[in-house]
Amino acid sequence: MSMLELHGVSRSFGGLAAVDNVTTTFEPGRIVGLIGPNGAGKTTLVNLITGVIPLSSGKVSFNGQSLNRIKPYHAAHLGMARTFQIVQPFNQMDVVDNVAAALLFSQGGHSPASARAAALPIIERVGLTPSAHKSAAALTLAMRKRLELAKAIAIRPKIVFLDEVNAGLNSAEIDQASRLIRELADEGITIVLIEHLMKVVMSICSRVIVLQQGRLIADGSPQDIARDPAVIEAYLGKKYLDKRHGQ
Amino acid sequence: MSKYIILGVVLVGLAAAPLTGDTYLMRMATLACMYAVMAASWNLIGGLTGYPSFGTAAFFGLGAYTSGILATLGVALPVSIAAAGVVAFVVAAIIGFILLRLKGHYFAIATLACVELLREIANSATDLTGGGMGLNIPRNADLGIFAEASLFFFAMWGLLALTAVVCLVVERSKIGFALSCIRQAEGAAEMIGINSTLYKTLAFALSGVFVAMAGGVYASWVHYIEPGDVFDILLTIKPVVMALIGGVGSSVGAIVGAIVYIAAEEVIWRNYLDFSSGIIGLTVVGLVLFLPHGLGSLHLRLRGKAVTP
Repeated sequence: MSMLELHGVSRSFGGLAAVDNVTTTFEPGRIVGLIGPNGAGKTTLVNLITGVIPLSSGKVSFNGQSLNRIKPYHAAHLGMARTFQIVQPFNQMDVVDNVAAALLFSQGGHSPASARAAALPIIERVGLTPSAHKSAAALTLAMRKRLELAKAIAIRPKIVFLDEVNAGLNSAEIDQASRLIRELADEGITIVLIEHLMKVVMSICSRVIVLQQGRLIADGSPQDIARDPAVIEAYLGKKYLDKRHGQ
Repeated sequence: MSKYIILGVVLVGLAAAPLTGDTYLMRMATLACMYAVMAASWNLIGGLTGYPSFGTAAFFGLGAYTSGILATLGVALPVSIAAAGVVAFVVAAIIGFILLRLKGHYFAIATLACVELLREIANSATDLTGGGMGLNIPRNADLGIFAEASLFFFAMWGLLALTAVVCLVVERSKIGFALSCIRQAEGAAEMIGINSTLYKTLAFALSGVFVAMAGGVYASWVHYIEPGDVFDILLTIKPVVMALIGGVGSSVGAIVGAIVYIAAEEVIWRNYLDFSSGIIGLTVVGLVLFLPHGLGSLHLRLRGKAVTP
């Protein structure tokens, strides 16, 4: 059974259809790449699913439950996590408190102290233990991206939307992040990876969906997507395609 | 730890005022307690949650009129003050639920409008409030000057102790943790499961309760209230300045800031009658420029350490 179903999901801002009639499903435990040129509506789609902005029309359901009027905090309680493209740590708190907050408010419980203790293994897992007591504002960009991941893991998600977690990282850091993402998928968590780095997409995704101008233009294995004329046109333009066919 | 010691010293120090037998000093101490309640309350929404409310005077006036009207109907003082707190909690929760979707300047202006709105209601509802003629609040009994001064001093002092305890508990609790997350990154706070509307509304409602109770005590203390007096915009501005003096985000800082402000205002007013407001204004400007994190950061500044808010 699919875990997350989108049916005709649309959102327009004024006359602009940012997300236009997207219908698709997500299965448990898979890594799905969500790609598309800048402004294709990838982040908007995630915002629609997690309730940050309401749908103009369409239907979203998660494990059979309708999410149409959901609020973001409710999405977290249902097991949907996301990271932000522009990282949003709680800058005046240390790493432990950042993760503890995610644990405390997604799982319930009353004591910040016990949440802090439970945060430590998650911090270990993303490799931030040496910086556990540093303020989030003092972390490097790579570390802040890992902190975003730690917060996402802390809410014990069923599905995680990773919005460009690899942007701005070097190749060793990307390998580390990719390993962690695979581990999470092996635990049965669905990963939706918004990503511009095709190397990452090709190596870890089992399925890729492509958005262009808010419309879903392709859906398939990474190999099929790389050969799909519509995708090549979206990224490189029609001229490139005509030229290649002319040869 | 040290903030508990500071709070203890401040509360004990204030409680010593009646021992002097000086009714002028007791009046100042009562005023200091009243403003400390308001500054600590403002800190809950303005400091901890990061929503700069200018609605303090609205809840002060609401509390003063609720308690005052009940007193004219013969309700006993403790009951009328508790009623002021309950009414303010409900009204603040409703106003907060509507206005807390605004941020920054927009929220500040909207809360400021609430003060004007309630003042106009108090002005117009002549049957209930006496309108512009004001409202006389009957004395419970003729106690004599000193006993009455003591009664109202200890009422304000007790209210301050209660406010301080509630603020400190909130700061340390799950609620305070949530409010702190909301202040730092509201979108991220929602995304980890924090119902920001609920927590913000709760903070705003709590910040109204004790201010309204202080207004209730004030009404009985001065025996006569009128809209221009209890919905005075200075009742909104002063607590904000006090919290800035103490260091935004700390309730003990706000309480210390209130006492420092009241003491400084009185000394300056007595010595420089013509230019007292100017001197207070310059002092505040100097503080914001040279000690932006308030008196609470003074020891860090003196030792040349970096100050993180």
